Parts: sequence; C-alpha cells; structure tokens
Amino acid sequence: MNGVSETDPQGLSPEDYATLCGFLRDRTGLSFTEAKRYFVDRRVAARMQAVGATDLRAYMNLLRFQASGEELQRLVNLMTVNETYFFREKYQFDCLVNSALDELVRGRPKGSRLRIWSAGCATGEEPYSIAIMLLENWSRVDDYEIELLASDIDSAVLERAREGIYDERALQGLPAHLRAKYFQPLRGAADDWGPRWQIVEDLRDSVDFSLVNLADPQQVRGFRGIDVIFCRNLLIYFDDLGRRETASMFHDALAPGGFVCLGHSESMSRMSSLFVPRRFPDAILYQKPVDGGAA
Amino acid sequence: MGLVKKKAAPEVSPAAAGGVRDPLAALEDAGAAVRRDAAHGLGHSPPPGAEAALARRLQAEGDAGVREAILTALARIATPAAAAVLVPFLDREDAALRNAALESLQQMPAEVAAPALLPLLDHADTDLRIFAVQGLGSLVHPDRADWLARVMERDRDVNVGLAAVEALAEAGSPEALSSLETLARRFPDDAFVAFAVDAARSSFGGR
Repeated sequence: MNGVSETDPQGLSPEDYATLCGFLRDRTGLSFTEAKRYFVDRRVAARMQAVGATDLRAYMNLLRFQASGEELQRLVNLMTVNETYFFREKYQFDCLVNSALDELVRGRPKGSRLRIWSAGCATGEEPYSIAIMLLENWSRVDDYEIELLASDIDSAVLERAREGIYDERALQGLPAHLRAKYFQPLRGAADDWGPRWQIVEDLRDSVDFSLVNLADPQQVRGFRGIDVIFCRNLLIYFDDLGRRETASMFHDALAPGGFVCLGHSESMSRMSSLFVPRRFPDAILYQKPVDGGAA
Repeated sequence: MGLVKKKAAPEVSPAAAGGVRDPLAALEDAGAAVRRDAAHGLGHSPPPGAEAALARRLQAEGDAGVREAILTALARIATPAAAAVLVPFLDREDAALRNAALESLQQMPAEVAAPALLPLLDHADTDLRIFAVQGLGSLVHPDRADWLARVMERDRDVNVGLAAVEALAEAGSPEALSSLETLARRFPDDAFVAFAVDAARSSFGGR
C-alpha cells in the first residue's frame, strides 16, 4: 500500500482506494465512487497526518482494530461534514432552551445580556437555527438581551451566511409553519439550483457574523464572557494539539458556568480536562466550572 | 429585548490592546490572562530557555487555564528539553496535573517523547511504569509493539503488564499476540489477565 500526503498529487493507488472504499462501505454504508477520489484522498491524508500514520496499511490497521472505533468515526465525520441543514442534531438546541439557558440566567436580573457563539458556523444554518429555537421555544427570550455571534474561517461561506439563502435540502428538517414564518421564497429562483428561500431580514440582522481563525488567539480575544459556545463537527479537522488549544481558548472565552456544545461524536474529555460534562435530559454539554477551574 | 441587533465587530478586550512584551517575563505576571497568553506565545515561538521557564511556572501555577496553556505549549515546543521537564510531573500527587503532563508527552512526536519515557520502564515505582506504558503505547513508532512486548514478558507487576495489553488492544497490534500469550503464562492464576488476553486475542482474531 502507498502512503498519501498533501503533496502527493496521485493520492491513493487504485488498489488502495478500492480497499478503503470497500471497507468504508462495509462498515458504514457510505459509498464513494472514482468521481469522489479527490474528496476522499484529501480527507484520508489529513487524518493520516493527524494520527501519525506513515502509510495506508498502518492507518487501515487503526481503522480496523482500534477498540474504541474513534478514528473510524472521525473519518466518517469528515466524509459527511458537508451535510449541514437547519435543526441538525436538534436535541442540542432542545437542551439549550429546555435546560441550559434557564440555569445560566438563574439569579441574573431581567435585561442582562446572554452571549451565544456559533464557532464554525459555515453557511449559517446553525446560528439561524439557534435564533429560531430561542424565539419559538424559550419562554424567557424577551426578558434578556441575547447576542448571537457566529464565526468561520472561510470568508466565502460567511458571505453566504449573511445572505441567508438556502435550498430545499437545507430546510428539510424545518416544520412548514417555521419556514413560512422565517423565510421568504425567492421569486424566479427556480433555476438549476431548484427553489430557494431567504431568511427574513429581521433574523439576518440578529446574527453577528465575523471571520475568525480559531487557531489564532489574536482573532478570538474579542470573544469574552460567552455563555454558550456551539462548536459542532469542526474540531475533527484539527489535530490533537489544535483541539487542546481550541478547548483552552473556549475556556478563556466562556463566562464562569458557561457551556460548550460539541458534535454528537465528539467528546471534550478527549481534548481537555478544563470542563465538567453535564448530562441534561436532552444532551450532554461541557461546562466551565463556576469558580473558573482554579487549581 | 430578545435578540440583539448585530454590531460591527466583537469588542476587543483590554488585554488585546496591550503591546508586545517579553513572554518570559509575562509568564510571571500577576494577571492570569497575561500568563496564559505568554505561555501560548512561548509554545509557538520559544526563545532559548522557554522549556525551563514554563516548567518553573507550572510548578507554582494555580490557575487551571494557565496550567493547560503551559502544558499545551510544552507539547507544541516538543524538544527533548520540553519532554524532559514534563517527566517529573508524572510523579505529582495532583492527578489532573499528572494526567495532563502525560497527555502532553503523548502529543509530542514519538522520537521526542520515547527517549523521555523509556527509562521509566525500569523505575522502581509501579505507577510510573504504568504511566510510561500508557505514554509509549499511544506513540506512533515502529518499536512500539516491541516496547510493550518487553513489558509483558518481563515486568514483575501484573498491573503494568495489563496496561501494556490495554495499549496493544487500543492501537490494534495483532503482531503482539505471542507476547499476550507470554503474559497469560506468567500470571496463570490471575483471572483478569486471562480475561484481558482473551479479549485482546478475540479483537485481533479472524481479521
């Protein structure tokens, strides 16, 4: 078997590609044709580099035999990461409005500020979903000033997030009455992309999008006193040290008692010991200790 | 109230407006945020002596965020000196600090971490030998299976041997099956050894 690297334009050999795709198909049902070659090569190369595998044989051994199955999950996540849509992993938004926010505002006077940050917001489905969930499902939404921050490292996707224009697939998980309430159909937009809808202006104005590289402390210094950070299915792109540094940065950014919400396959305990896992009825969140974690 | 309309950009905290400062001096600043930033900076651009300075600060540091920044910085510096200053922390009573130090060693390149961990396999303290096995077992190195095999074949403490079994099973190393059998023969009356070896054997078998 050959190794793969970012600098190897050939990527996996045809035999290795077939072996890997067969394995993924057997284990996960995911199917990748030759047309997906570049997509698969890049992701496998990134994961091999992250785990220090020197060739595909070593990496396949890890995928096959690792007792926890963690690496296979990471690779699968990378292969499916573009599948974002409104209300994805909704149980975490349920946790926000059913449990976390009520705990956060306990003892806070009405009118005080809550700050929620969608880190790695891509094209905006996540922060807009949060906004809709708050308006629809948190009874105390009008008692507090809620600031919604959203960031991504990719300026192109941020521009799309600000526009707030989505196709049918992105809206598939949204009940019809919410689509009618918060989206406007774009007239004459039934082109090659199919029909599209735009988030209403009032909601677009409620999310503060900014270009941020989470790996650069200078760029994240403005994020302080955050109450809840959503960072889902993003840290799988980082290596172990990068995840650890980002977790540390989230710890700095959060107010005492604040929460981090990770993707369903991610665990803070594998990244950092700074947080305490909290099991709520809807989801597990990771909390910065109220005392800040002083040793 | 409700959702606040967006503003131009996030507010910049006073710390962000601060000027450039010697990071080694900043590591001893009274403000935790300053110390944290200094540690982060040293991790990315370490001047000579950074490893020792970070280790000194770590010994006295009470803020969890600063400790984490120091431990991550040492992992990122990843020199033999950075690995060496972490080893004494494996012997600390503070379990969180001990585990975080081990994690930093595990996150270093194998060729840096292994020379710091290998001598611990011969240490008199069983706990330190277990930490060494856990550390070495997580490294991606061609000799990893041999290190763990040596432990299973020679270490007098069954718990150290079991740590090696666990490391082998986690990383998926079917080539070490014979060493597993050796461990089972060395501790024939230990039911847990038999269970662990069987579990590891079956996880590799038939694949």
